[in-house]
Amino acid sequence: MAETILEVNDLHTWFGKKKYRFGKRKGEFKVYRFGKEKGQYKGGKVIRAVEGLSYTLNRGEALAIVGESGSGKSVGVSTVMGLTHSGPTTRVTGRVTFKGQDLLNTVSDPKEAGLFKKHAAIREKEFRAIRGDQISMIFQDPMSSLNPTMKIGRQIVEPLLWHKGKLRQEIQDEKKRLLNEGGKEALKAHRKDLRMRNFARARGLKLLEEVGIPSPETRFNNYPFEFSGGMRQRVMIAMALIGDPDLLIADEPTTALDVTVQAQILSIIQKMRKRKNTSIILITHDLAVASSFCDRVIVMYAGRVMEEGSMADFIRCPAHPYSQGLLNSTPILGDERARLEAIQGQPPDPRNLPSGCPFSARCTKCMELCTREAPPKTQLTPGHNVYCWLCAGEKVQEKEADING
Amino acid sequence: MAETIVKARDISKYFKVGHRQLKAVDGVSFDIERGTTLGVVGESGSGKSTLARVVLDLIPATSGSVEFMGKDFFKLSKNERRLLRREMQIVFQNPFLSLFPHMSVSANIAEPFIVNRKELGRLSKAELDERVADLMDLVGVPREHANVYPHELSGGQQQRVGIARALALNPKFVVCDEPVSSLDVSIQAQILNLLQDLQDQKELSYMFIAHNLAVVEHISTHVAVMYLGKVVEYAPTQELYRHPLHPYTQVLMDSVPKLSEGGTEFSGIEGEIPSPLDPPKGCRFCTRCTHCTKRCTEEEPVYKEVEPGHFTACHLYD
Ligand SMILES: Nc1ncnc2c1ncn2[C@@H]1O[C@H](COP(=O)(O)OP(=O)(O)OP(=O)(O)O)[C@@H](O)[C@H]1O
Ligand SMILES: Nc1ncnc2c1ncn2[C@@H]1O[C@H](COP(=O)(O)OP(=O)(O)OP(=O)(O)O)[C@@H](O)[C@H]1O
Ligand code: SF4
Ligand SMILES: [Mg+2]
Ligand SMILES: [Mg+2]
Repeated sequence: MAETILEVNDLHTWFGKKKYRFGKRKGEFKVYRFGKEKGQYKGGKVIRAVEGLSYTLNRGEALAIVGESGSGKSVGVSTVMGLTHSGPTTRVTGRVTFKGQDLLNTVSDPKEAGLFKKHAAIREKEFRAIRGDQISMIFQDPMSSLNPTMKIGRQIVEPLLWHKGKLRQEIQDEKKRLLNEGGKEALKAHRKDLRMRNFARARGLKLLEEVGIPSPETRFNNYPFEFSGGMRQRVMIAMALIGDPDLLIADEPTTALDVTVQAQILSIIQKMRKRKNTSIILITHDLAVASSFCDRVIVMYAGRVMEEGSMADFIRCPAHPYSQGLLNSTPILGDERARLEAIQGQPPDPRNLPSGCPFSARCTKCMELCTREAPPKTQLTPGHNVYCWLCAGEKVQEKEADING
Repeated sequence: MAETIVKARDISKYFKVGHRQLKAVDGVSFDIERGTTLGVVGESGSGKSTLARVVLDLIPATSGSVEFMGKDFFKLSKNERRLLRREMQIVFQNPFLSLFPHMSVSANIAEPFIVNRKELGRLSKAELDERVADLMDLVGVPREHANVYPHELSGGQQQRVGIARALALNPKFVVCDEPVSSLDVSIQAQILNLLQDLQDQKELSYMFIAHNLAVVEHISTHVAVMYLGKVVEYAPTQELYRHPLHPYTQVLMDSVPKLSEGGTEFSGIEGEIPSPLDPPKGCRFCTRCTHCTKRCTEEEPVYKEVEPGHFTACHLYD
């Protein structure tokens, strides 16, 4: 049985409207807060950025989250990471379990969540330990997540020094190894290397070399602006991997890069994954990247899951009209179609989602039922689920009967 | 014989950076025939946008000539040039930045008619409205959007407005500089289809710049591959994608992720793209090329026709 690393259960993230008003103190923000009613804000509608996201991720597995811009991919993972959490304008409900640990202890029903309920189950400090140590994240824009005034080397090694306990343990192990192999002499000779900072530095250098940065010794003392975009992205990867995370979340890690650099970066992540059996969540809107990298896929649209399943199932027989549309509108190298089959229309306004299936306005197979009620989950084959009335089978008749009778 | 719309010869554009010269475009030649599309691909910084801007005379060329519909563009008088320039338009990557944010959609589309009122003759309000409405229909922007402002539109709609404005004066030649790169896949396909339809209707010629090789394959009839300011390979699309000759083109093709059921291994090439400020001696690709010989590091390969219609610059094909 594969070990489950991450379990996300019915995650909802809603954003309210921020409104700036002059407070008594300079720069003070006053914000509208959630009203009592579900989904209602005083003074505006709620953006339901993520609506009922659930998945489990096993050790060593790679999951792709694909979907249009604004479909809630980034918010979904930043909620899992705890970077988006409940606050005056944000409400998070659902359950996230990472290696058995509850990351957000919240009530599953949004109605039950009280007005100012404290959602954090584990204190911020503990969460931070998990975040940097066992879960890491690669962001879309490497420049904005690197500190421009700090040397690259220091930025890489820093996270290691935050988690001193783990580092100390590793130094002890290394000491034991040296003692066994070379006795006291060896220990003495390597005394300097075993200092915490030097030990961390050596790790950093090795990692830089692994991600393909030539002459890491000199590069260690450079500032981010002295690197090209692709190299910065590699530094980000090195930073994300230095703590040997169990879970790596990559949010569009290669979108801004050239194809040749993209291939390089993906091959580095792929090798790391093989060597360390890391679980990966890859967010992308490039189906080709997702399909060559991941074992499983979740397709999101307007904050909701449309289809989920193994990558092979998804590519071979996509069931949801949106998935089919995505595949049909992606130009593929070597295909000879004269025209792409585009999905007509525009993605819906997140503040103003249509009732029923969020895709209904653009769907060519839309039925009356679709615009009235959100489609239920239908299992096609084990692990391959789709949220569409077309696939719902008997449930459609039941619903029709309900309505008519 | 098809009519040649654009004939560019030996175009170079050098920028001065400090005391040094940056050869952004270095001796590029190509032809574009009526109703065809030249796709331009290449790494970031290889000079694609600079080439486009030189061809459109948005920035002056350092050397070289562009013949546009039989007239030597750079030799014309200022006024003649201005008239001719109406026949060529550009669509940019960032649709929002290329529209006037303080003007409504219809005003944005009407702008070219107003700017060129001297030559076109002043249009009455009703005529102007009719032309704008026609253009909006043509590119598929609903008429209700005539009075909204660009920021209220989605990226795809903004790009449609940008295309409408580019087509207002019935150009013969349109440069599309990464027109779909910032759009979602589903919207990207809509815009690509639109560009193809417009080409069929109006016999437009395009120069289509993009990162995405699959998109370029889909829309182009010919493709030029650029590397550090030079065209390293040029051929009809099918030929180039089936039999890439230049090692850089081959690497490029191998790097493109493909749809697959079982996952694929990625393999990047080693080495960084060298600084355009001091490109390697000899062949510019030699620092990253797996076939590199001593000759490649010393002597620059000539750009020549290796097979009929298929040009490349590489010592492997001497
Ligand atoms: N802090 C926030 N406050 C209010 N709304 C937000 C916030 N962050 C995101 N949103 C909204 O939530 C929705 C989902 O955004 P998200 O960033 O997850 O999209 P995405 O799928 O990652 O898109 P992209 O592909 O463009 O990165 C969007 O409509 C966005 O406007
Ligand atoms: N005005 C300028 N002054 C100095 N150098 C410039 C200027 N414009 C462009 N360059 C340089 O010329 C080279 C080519 O730039 P260009 O924008 O044409 O590349 P590109 O192929 O369009 O890249 P991208 O795919 O990133 O758009 C780059 O090295 C760039 O830094
Ligand atoms: S539920 Fe209906 S509208 Fe939604 S995707 Fe399926 S068929 Fe289309
Ligand atoms: Mg995002
Ligand atoms: Mg450019």
